[in-house]
Amino acid sequence: MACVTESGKISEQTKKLLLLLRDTISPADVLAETLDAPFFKIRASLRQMKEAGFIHETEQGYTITNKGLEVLHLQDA
Amino acid sequence: MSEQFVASNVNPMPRIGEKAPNFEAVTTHGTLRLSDYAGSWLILFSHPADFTPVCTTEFIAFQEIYPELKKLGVELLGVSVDSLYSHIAWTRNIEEKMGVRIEFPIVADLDMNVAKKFGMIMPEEHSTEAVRAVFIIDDKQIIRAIIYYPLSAGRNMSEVLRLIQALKTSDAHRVATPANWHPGDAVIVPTPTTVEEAEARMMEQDIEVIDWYLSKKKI
Repeated sequence: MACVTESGKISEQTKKLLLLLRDTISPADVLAETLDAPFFKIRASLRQMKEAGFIHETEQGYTITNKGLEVLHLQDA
Repeated sequence: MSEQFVASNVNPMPRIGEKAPNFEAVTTHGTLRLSDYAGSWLILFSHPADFTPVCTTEFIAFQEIYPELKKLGVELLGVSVDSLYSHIAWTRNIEEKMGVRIEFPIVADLDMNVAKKFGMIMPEEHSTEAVRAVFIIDDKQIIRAIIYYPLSAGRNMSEVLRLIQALKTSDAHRVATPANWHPGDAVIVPTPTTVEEAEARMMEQDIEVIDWYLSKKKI
């Protein structure tokens, strides 16, 4: 469940979360419900994405960073 | 096996009511920390080894109660000292040969980090394999119940499920549950703690008062 695979690409789960967080600030439970994924898996992904600098946490929830937007752009390129 | 080696594998067992020791571990669902489960209840259970008969029946049985557990807001996390590749091969084998897909993660605890933190190694039973431990951890990461079985006896999933239901009922209604309780049965009303309360309890009409210290009610 690492947010970046060995080939340097972001994982599918990371991509889904970044796409959601590009458009809105969301807490972990809302993201889990939106993606119909277990809460613990979303928390683990968010933790790793935060450590990688792709997202940051605010009082309202998680939001994408410039680095997150960059990797999302590179993924689509 | 030297005494020194055995001693290094024995850790004090966390107790009921204590905060569960956090860990980070490689699992069949990626790297997870215990803290990733905060907000959900968790059944953390160990098994001695992959590709062994009793453990295989247990894994199938845990998977069978997993949908019911998820409805109750409870997750499952298995642990053994086998490698990640062994876990993957074993769960694939279970699906191929027995038609059961194991959906919950399993920790590859090769360095026994998790097993040691939770006192799952019992050297007199086996020095390098975990016994069959079950830790029920609540949404605040507090250990609420512990069950230990030896290597030779498979666990009873009905009891695991019943225990979760009993704990959640106790939390929701501030009651206790009697022996052999099942959902729908009467629960035990907290015992009075003063003489006045005991006298008042004996007068209560809307609950089943067997005596001042043992009263039941339906919820």
